[in-house]
Amino acid sequence: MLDRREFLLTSAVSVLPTIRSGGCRFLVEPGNPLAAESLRGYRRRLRESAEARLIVVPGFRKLSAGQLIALQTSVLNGACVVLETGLAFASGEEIAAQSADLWNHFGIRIAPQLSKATGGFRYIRYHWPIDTMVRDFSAAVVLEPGSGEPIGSAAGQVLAIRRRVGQGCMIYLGSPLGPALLAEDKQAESWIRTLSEGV
Amino acid sequence: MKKSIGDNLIPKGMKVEDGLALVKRAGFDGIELWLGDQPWFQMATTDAQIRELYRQVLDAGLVVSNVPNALDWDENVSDRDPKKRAAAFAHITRQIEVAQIFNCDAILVVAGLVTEAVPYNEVYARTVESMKSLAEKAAAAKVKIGVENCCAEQKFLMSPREFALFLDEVRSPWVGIHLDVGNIHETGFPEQWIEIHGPRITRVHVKDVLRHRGRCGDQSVYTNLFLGDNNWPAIRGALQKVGYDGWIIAEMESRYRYAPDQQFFDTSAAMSRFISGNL
Repeated sequence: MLDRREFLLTSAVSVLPTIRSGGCRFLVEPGNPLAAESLRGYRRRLRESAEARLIVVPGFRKLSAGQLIALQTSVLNGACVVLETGLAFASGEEIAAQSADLWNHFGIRIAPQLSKATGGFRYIRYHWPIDTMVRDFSAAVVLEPGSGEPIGSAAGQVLAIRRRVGQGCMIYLGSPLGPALLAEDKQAESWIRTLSEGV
Repeated sequence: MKKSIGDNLIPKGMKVEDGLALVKRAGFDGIELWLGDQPWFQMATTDAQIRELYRQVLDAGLVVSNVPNALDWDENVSDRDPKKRAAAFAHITRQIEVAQIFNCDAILVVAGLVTEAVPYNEVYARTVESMKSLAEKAAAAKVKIGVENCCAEQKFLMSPREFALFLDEVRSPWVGIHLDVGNIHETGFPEQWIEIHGPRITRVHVKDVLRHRGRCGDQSVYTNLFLGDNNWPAIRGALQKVGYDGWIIAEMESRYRYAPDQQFFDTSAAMSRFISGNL
């Protein structure tokens, strides 16, 4: 018997939008200042294209059911979706809500508590798609084991993962990259450029 | 990363060969040779004497990490007096020549001194113009000029972004920043300077700082590594982030009342710990 997540994944296959390599699409949560700031960073580095295979969801806290289904559909059809958390300053309720959505729709589990650097800040070490380091952005979301292949960590905590879903892939960033792109961080720029070129 | 220390810390009166042996014994890979500080390296030192000095460095099992000068505070490229500017050009040119003899690819200069009498905009324009001109000599010699950030003392280029704009205006791959992590505490954070300048960093000076002393009292703001307020894990992380794997050079004040040679050993041990990342 299918559970809710499997049902949604299966039913989403029936909608297959056109997807092409190159460029990027954005799915932005309205009324979210963190998302807006992060979006500005991505827009500095990525060319927008309505049929792009890469979809970036900058700084999100809560997406609608329709948006989540649309993302699932795209991933199953071969899109690469970057889900970038916007939970840095979120309430416990907001964290719990995103946690449920991530599990129900994408099989990603996050820790109930955000992780903060001791001593002011820390660098996140990304191992994929390139080996580089980017500043943490305030409190970060920690990924639970089994959520996917770790691609970024700090102080032994997994803060970014990727996983194959259908024909596509999901990337979850537990610390936003967009603000670093807005700040012209060279390593963040290399990371997103390499990702977009490989998609 | 490799470790070096300035020859200006070698106790006054010690022979150069004894000083070099001490540096080697303490575990350093290289020596920073200051033009205009110790008697063995002055403007009057001939090429033949420079070659002999280089032989002594190699015999001690060291290499020359870089060539700074102790003269810019009196003879600066931003001075209003053309004679002083010419003197600055002469000693920087000499640094470039000597660096070639030493098989070394980097020098250090302090470019631009703002004073009550010589205002910022004037210093800025003259300094950019001078560095553009010196960049041609540096390019021909394949020696990089590292402009040091002595921000508070120079009253010049006090933010990392302004320093970057300055280098943009000089517009030469042969002019970068010799980044001193001990000169930033009044106006910012060294790890942020490292992130912004990344590939433009020619060399890194290390020392620690005591923020609470400021610069107005009669006590030095500087101290030995790990005794002050620098965030060393952050500095180490930032260097790793930007891929810096070059020389780190101790620029220490002589602080030991007894056994001054011990400062070399203690500094070397701290630098090894810093390089290991075990902080």
